Amino acid sequence: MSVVLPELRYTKDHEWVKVEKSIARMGITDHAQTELTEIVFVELPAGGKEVKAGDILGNVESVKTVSEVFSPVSGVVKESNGKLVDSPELLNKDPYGQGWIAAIEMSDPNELSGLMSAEDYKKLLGE
Amino acid sequence: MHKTPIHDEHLSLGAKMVWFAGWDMPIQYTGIIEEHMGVRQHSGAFDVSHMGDFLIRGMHAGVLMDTLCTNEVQCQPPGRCVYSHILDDQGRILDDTIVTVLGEDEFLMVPNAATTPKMRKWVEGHVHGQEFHDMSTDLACIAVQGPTAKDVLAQLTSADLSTLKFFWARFARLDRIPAEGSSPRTPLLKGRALANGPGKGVVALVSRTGYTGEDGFEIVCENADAVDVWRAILETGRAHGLKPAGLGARDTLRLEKGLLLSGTDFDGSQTSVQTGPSWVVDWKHDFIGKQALVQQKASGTYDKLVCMLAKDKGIPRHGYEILREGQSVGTVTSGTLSPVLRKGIAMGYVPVGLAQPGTEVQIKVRETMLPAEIVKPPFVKRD
Repeated sequence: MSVVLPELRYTKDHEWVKVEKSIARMGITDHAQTELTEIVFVELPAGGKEVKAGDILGNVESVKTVSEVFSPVSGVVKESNGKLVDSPELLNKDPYGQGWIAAIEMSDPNELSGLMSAEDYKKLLGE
Repeated sequence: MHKTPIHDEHLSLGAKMVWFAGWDMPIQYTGIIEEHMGVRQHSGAFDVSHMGDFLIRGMHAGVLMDTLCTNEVQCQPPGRCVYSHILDDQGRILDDTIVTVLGEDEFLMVPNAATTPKMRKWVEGHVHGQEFHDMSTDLACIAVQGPTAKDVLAQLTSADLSTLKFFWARFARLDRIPAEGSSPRTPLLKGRALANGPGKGVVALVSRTGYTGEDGFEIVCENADAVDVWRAILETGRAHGLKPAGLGARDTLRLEKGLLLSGTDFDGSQTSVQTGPSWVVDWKHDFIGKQALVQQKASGTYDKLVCMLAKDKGIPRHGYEILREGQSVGTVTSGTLSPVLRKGIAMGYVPVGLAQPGTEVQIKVRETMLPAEIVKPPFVKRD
């Protein structure tokens, strides 16, 4: 069974969001990393990149597959997790912590209400 | 959907299953990279029962095989395994296969799983009075691959397989495993003279072949015995570092060695001249498609399959564009991250004039140009 943290918000594409004032820190969920298996390559968004909710932020690759990572909110990428370039396995080991992907300065915090609660995300997973 | 006789074992081992060519197959058990490295360093067991099994025998069966195969088969002694392509009359590869000489005018042909129905029609269409048996769903095949494979095999049978050379096969009883073995029903295994004589134990055809570039064996047995053989391999193999390995690792292992994948590196429109390896065609004999190959070779204008090593971070994939000085020159057919090299590796087609090792190309990975160099296979050499 996948780990779903109660304090986070979730998307149907299996991303999580942690709200830190005006910043939305995001990554992929435990369920997503399990499905993807061993992650061997991560393509990160450049700092300063403007994104809309649903835009492609980057890519996460396992040996077999490439999976797009979508931005859960609109805004500007403040920072991405450079550690993942040399240690993509952090996404498997610690998806909600050291495996975070990007921090986005939100342009429309109201979008957060469109994201799923932990409860709803668990339902989506059927767990 | 077909299931191999070992299917339930995969489920109880917790394998991730995937649909492959009409079969429900294990893609991985614990992880592709772990299984891959396990095979390179120790050994791994693969269920490859989805591959086809044709027996062709009778008067002039050898002539038939030579007509169908780009490599010469008939002149080979019993026990010899021959890798070959099978072409249509335009020289296009229908499939690649290993043919094992079982005796005079008697052969085992192993087509790929996805191409088995097509190959059955093709071979049957060229049979002139010979017997043709499709045993594809009656036989299991387990590949034991890796540097410790020979030690694992020694614990399965009293037959001396240490003397079995690369690309040779032998019928044997696996008499060191707990199972008594069923009495063989298929024409491949029924009534054979066995390397270790008559008696108890599972009857199998053991070949020193594989698809990993490592030393290893492929064990063909009847469905009824497959679970016993599989369990015995995992049990006795444990002391030799053997673990089950799935189709995911099988794909990365073969790609590191520059071995072709049917349906991916050739898809019905390429010839053996384009794919290589050069030794896959024996030009001294006549075979279907030869004339087209001769003409293509003489023309000097065709796309050639090459191996490419990425020189930067990034993973080439099937379908990605290959560029040379900004111009599109070809397409990647297979690509992955090499678990051994930790670099992107790929195969793909470029004009033959650009096919020399050392040629610099770029592979378009989404918005990025990944620099790569054409290299001579294999990507990973044996120690």
